[in-house]
Amino acid sequence: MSERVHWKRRLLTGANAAIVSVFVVAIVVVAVDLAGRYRLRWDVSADGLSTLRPETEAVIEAVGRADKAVKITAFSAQQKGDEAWVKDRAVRDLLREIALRTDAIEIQFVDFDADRLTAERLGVSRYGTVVVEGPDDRVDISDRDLFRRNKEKGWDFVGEPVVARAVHQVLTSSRRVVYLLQGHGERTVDATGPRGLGAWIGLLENHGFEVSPLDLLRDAEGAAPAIPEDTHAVLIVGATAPLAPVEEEALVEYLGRGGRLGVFIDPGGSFPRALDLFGVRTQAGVVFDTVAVFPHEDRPVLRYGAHPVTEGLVEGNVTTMVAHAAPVDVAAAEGMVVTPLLATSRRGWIERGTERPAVYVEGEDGPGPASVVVALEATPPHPKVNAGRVTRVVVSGDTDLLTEELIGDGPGNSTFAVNVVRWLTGDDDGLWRVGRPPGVRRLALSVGQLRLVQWVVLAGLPLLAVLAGAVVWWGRRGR
Amino acid sequence: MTGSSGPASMGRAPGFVGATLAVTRKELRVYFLSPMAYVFLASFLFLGGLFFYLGVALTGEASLRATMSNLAVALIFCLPLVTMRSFAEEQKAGTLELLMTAPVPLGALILGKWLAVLALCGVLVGATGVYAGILALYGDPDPGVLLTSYLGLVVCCAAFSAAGLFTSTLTRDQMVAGVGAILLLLPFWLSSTVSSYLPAWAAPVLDWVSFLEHLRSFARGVIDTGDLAWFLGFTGVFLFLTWRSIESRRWR
Repeated sequence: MSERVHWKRRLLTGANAAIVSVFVVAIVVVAVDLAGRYRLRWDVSADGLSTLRPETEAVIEAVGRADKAVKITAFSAQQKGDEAWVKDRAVRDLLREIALRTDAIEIQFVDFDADRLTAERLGVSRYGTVVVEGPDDRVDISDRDLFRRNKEKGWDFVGEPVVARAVHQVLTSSRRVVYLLQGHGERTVDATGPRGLGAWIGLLENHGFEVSPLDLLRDAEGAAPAIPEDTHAVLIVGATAPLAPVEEEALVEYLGRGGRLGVFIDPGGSFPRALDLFGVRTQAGVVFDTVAVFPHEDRPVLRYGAHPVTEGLVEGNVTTMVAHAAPVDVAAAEGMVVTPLLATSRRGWIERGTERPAVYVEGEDGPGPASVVVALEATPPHPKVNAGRVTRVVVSGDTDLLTEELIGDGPGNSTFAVNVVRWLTGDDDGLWRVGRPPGVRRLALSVGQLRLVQWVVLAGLPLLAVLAGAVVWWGRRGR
Repeated sequence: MTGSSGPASMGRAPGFVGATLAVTRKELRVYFLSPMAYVFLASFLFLGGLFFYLGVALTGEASLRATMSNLAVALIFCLPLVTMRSFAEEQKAGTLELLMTAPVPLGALILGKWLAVLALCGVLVGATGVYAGILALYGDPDPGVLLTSYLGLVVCCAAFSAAGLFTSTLTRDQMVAGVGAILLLLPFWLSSTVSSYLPAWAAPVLDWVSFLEHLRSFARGVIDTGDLAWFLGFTGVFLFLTWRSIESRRWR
C-alpha cells in the first residue's frame, strides 16, 4: 500500500515538474518571439553592410501602406565552385534585411536543383532568378542584373536597387505602352539571337512596359496615319528606308503635342525628317576614340553626360558599349535642352576614311568630342511644340547597344537601355541605378604569404596547444 | 567536480556567487590539468585553421564570415566532448548525491560548470584572434564585422554548452551524453537548410529555431536584440532544464 502511495506521489510530483517546465519554456519562447518582433538593430560595420538604401526603405514602407500581397521568390545560383555560395549569400542577405523590416513582403529562397516544382510553377528556367510577384504584375530578375564581374574576377552584388525597383513595379503595376515602329527595315520585336532586341524588350517588359509593333501605314487602314492615343513612347530602331510623308506628318504632330520619340540608327541608316525640326542630324562617318574595347577598334569607350539617365551609371563606374556608331549632332534652339548621353573624349574623332587601324586625319575626319547618343527636351517657345507637355527625344547613332550581344557584354548597357525608355516615358522618378556594389574588403596575399598563413593556422596553432598540454603533463607526471 | 575535494570541503558555506566561482575554478583546474582541454583546443584549432585557410584561399575576402559559421559547426561536434563529462561522470562516480547534499546551491553548481565551459571557450575564441590578426596584417578587415562575428561565436558557445550540460544530466555514460548533445544541437543547425524541402508554412518556424538564421546578423556586422534574445533564451531554457533534470533526482 505504501509502495502505491509512494508511486502516486512520484507521479504527481513528476507531472507537476513537467507542467512547470513546459510552462517556463513556453514563457521563454513567447518572450524571445516578442523580442524578435520588436527588435533593435545596430549596424556596427564600417561599410554599413546591413543598411538598406533610402529608396529601398521607401519601397518597403510603400508596400506596408499599400496593403497588397507582394512575394519575392529567389532561386539559388548554379552550384559551380564558390561562385554559388557568394551569390546565394548576397541574395539571402538582402532578402533577410527586407524580411526584417516588413511582414508585408513574403520571402522565399528556393534551391533550384531540389525544388523543381516551384521553378516549374513559376516558369523559371534559369539559376539565380528572383521572381517578384504582386497582385496584378510580376517581374523576373535574372542573375545577370543582380551581379557584376569585378576586377578580381569575382562577383559584386548590385541587386538591391534592382529588387527595390521590381517591388515598386509590381506595387504600382501600371503598364506603359511603347511602340516599336515597323515597315522601314527596322529591327523587329520578335528578332532573336545576338543581334536581336529580345533581351532589351524582356527588360522593358520586366519594368512595366508593353512593347508592341506599330506599322503606321498598315494600321491606318486607309485613314490618315496617327500615333495611337495610348502611346507612351515611339521607338525607331535601325530603320533603313525613309518614312512615308504621311508617317512623317504623324510623327511631327505627335512630337508637337509633347510626344516621346527614341531613334536609334546605324551609320548609313535612314533618319526621320521629323527630327530636322529639332535641329537633329547625323553626320557621315563612324565614331572612334583612342581607347576602345579590345579587340574591336570601332567600339570606343564613351563618356557619360550629366543626365538622370546616366547618373547611376556614372556612380557605378560601368561602361555602356556601342559598336560601329554614327555621330549625332543637335543644333541649339530656343526652348530646347540638349544633353549628350554618350560621347567620346576630346581625343575621339569621326572617322571618314577606310584605312585600318583608323587614325585621325586633319581635314578629312571630323574632330572630337563626338556625341553618339543625345537627349533633348523641347517646350514652348520652341516653334514646333504646341502643348505644355515637354517633348522628349533620344537619338542614338548606334542600334547595337540595344542588342542581346551588347546588353550581355556591356556592363552598363541594360541599365542604359532601360533608363532611356523610362526617361522618355516620364517614368524618371528614381531611375534604375546600377549603384555602387557593397564594398568587399580583400586580402593582398602572395603565394608565399598564403603558404605561411597555411602553416601558421594549420600547424602552428594546434601544435602550440599540444605543446602546452605536454608541458602540463610533464609537470604533473609522477604526482 | 569528481575528486576528493569539492565545495563541501570548503569550510563555511559560501554565498551564491562565491560558490559559483568556486565551482568554476575547480572545473577549470580539472580541464587544464588534464589532457582534455589541450586535445579539445588542438583539434578545434586545427579545424578552425582549415576553415580559415580555405575561406581565405577561396574567397580572398578579408573577413571571418565563412570561417565563423564553419567554426560554429565544429563547435557542435567538439563542445560536447567537454560538456559530456560535467554531470555524467559525477553520476557514474556517485559524487552527484554528495554535491546535492553539500552547502552549494544547485543553481550555483550548474552555473559554475557552465561558466567553466564558457571560460574554456573563451580561451579557444581568444586563440582564433590570430586569424583576425592575419586579416589585419594582409588586408583591411571591417573591425565592426570582426567584433560582431566574435560576439556570434561567443553566444553560440553559451548556447551549445548549456545544451551539452543538459544532456550530461540525462545519463551516466559520457559517450551517450556527448552524442546526445550533438543530436540535440544538429536539428537546430540544419532546420533552416531543410525548410525549402518542406511545406511553405513550416519554413518560418524552422527558420526561427535555426542557429544559422540567428547568426546571419552577427556575420554582417549587426548587433540585433532579437537574435541576442534568441541565444539568451536558448541558453536559459537549457540551463533551466539542466536544473530541473538534476532536481528531479530528489523525488525520483
